[in-house]
Amino acid sequence: MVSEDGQLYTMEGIAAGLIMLLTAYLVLGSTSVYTPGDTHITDMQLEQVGSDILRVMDTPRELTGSLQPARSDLELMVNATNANGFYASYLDGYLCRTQEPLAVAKDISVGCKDIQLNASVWYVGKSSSPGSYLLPNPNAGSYSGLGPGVRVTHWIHTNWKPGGAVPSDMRTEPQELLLEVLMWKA
Amino acid sequence: MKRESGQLPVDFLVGFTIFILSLIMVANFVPSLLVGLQRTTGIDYDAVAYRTGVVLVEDPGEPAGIPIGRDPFEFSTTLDWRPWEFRDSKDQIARFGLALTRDTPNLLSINKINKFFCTTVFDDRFDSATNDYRSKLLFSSYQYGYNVTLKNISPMKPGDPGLDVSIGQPYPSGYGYIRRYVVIKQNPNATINMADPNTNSAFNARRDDQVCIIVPSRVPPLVDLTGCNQQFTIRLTGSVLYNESIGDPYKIDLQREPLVISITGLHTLLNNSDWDADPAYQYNPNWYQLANHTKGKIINTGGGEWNGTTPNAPTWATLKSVDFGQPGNFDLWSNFITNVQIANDSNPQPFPLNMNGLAVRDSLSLSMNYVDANYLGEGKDLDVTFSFNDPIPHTLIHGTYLYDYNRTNVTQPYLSTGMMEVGIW
Repeated sequence: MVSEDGQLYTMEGIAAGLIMLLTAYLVLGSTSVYTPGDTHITDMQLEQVGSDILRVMDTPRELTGSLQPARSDLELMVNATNANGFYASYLDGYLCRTQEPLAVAKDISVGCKDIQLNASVWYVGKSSSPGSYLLPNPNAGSYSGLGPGVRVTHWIHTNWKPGGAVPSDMRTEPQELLLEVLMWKA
Repeated sequence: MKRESGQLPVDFLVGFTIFILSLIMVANFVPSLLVGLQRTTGIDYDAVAYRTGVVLVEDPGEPAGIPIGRDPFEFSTTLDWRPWEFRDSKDQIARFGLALTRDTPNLLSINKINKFFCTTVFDDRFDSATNDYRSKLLFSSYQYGYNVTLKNISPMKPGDPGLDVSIGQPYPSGYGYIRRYVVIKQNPNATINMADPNTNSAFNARRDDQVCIIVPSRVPPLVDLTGCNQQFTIRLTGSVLYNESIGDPYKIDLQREPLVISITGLHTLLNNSDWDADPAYQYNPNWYQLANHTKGKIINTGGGEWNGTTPNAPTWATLKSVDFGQPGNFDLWSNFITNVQIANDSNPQPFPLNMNGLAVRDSLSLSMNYVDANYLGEGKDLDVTFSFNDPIPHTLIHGTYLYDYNRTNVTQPYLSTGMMEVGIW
């Protein structure tokens, strides 16, 4: 401690350094502004599109001879547990469909193939407790839950227990099934 | 500390540091406050695109037409219940919307689609102050740019080209966007081919149907042609068409779809006896025989159906009138119905027909854009009756054809999938 001069100048320097560090920290922090509004819109669009696709797939094309609606594509696929057919129709037939001349879907089909999806079917079992099973998608991983995901659901009426690899406690009589599709960016 | 007292004291340094820190924090908050404002325009475009997509895909527009599934007797019969796509003046259209009804989101009407994308009817010019799409769809004083495109995914009705329609301008670099997937309901129609053997035998009066008044005093007895009942009726039974168990996508709803009837192969029903050309045939027993002396069946005994080569074969029939009414009262509505388009052999003709009638060689078509609920609905049947003149020499058509959900009779409403894209900027 030779004199007070050095002490004062040192403290000023330290304070200035702290101010600069804080400034840098705050400035750097403020550059990556997260805008939840954008994410919300994209999610909303994807959710709307997913809901539309399920609705369209579940619209029978004609009446039967007894003037009842024929079975829809979606009902047939769920009844047969035709997972490959479902994902191919959902993605190639609808979601990833491009349209000329517009380079479509700034928020959807850009990187459409990057959208992964898994569908599961919910039912009420013999013991009146709900259960579910997955329509396996070999091209999709499992949803980590970290990134934004979109979930759309659709009720399907079926006249009997679906075939294929389904849980044994499913009832055999006519029932309503809830198809749940989860979509997320890989 | 005497000479150094002019330098910064510690308390001042602490205070100044706190002040600077506060200033930095406030300065840091300001951009965050502006983030929402900066993003407003982009988000707004997406929101407007979404809103526009909802209006188009989930709303039937205004006027929406008479509600489906409601008893038409509940509604005033003096009001105009035509939906907007059947209105003649665009001033009567308050809002565009392509859904078939309020209860059928994603199910679009092909008639609304055709009208909506008709830019010869609606003003689609970007700079126009009277742009119809801004005033009836976007609902904003702001001059949005827009693009609405609709294409089919699955094939359209057999025989129809693919759907690829759009309005608006090319997309700029930045825009709000929504995509919707839809089902497009296409119109039913009846094509009655009289050359088909089954149809021919069902509506050929040479069977047992042709009932004429006989003049028994003549030898051989003479047929009084004026008494012949040469009528072909299309019957629309309201309780069948508007049965509540029929879902809206499949319903033949003539308050939202045109009635389209096409009769072809009429030459197969022309009589091979040219009565007018040679009156002697009237007395030739080879050309008819009588069942009894009060009423008789006219049966062609000259060799069955006309084979196209018989001499004196007529080449046309004469359509005397087209009437609208109910079973048992075939011309009840004839004086009230005017929105009919009729054509003979693909030539459009004025309606009502003139007094001379209409010469028909082979085909006859009739369409009505809209059938009022006063005439057809739950409990209300409608008969469309074609009456032919000079019956025996020219045509032998006779009978009642049911316009219903029988696929043999009527080509049912056809559903195709499609994709709609809406861009706003």
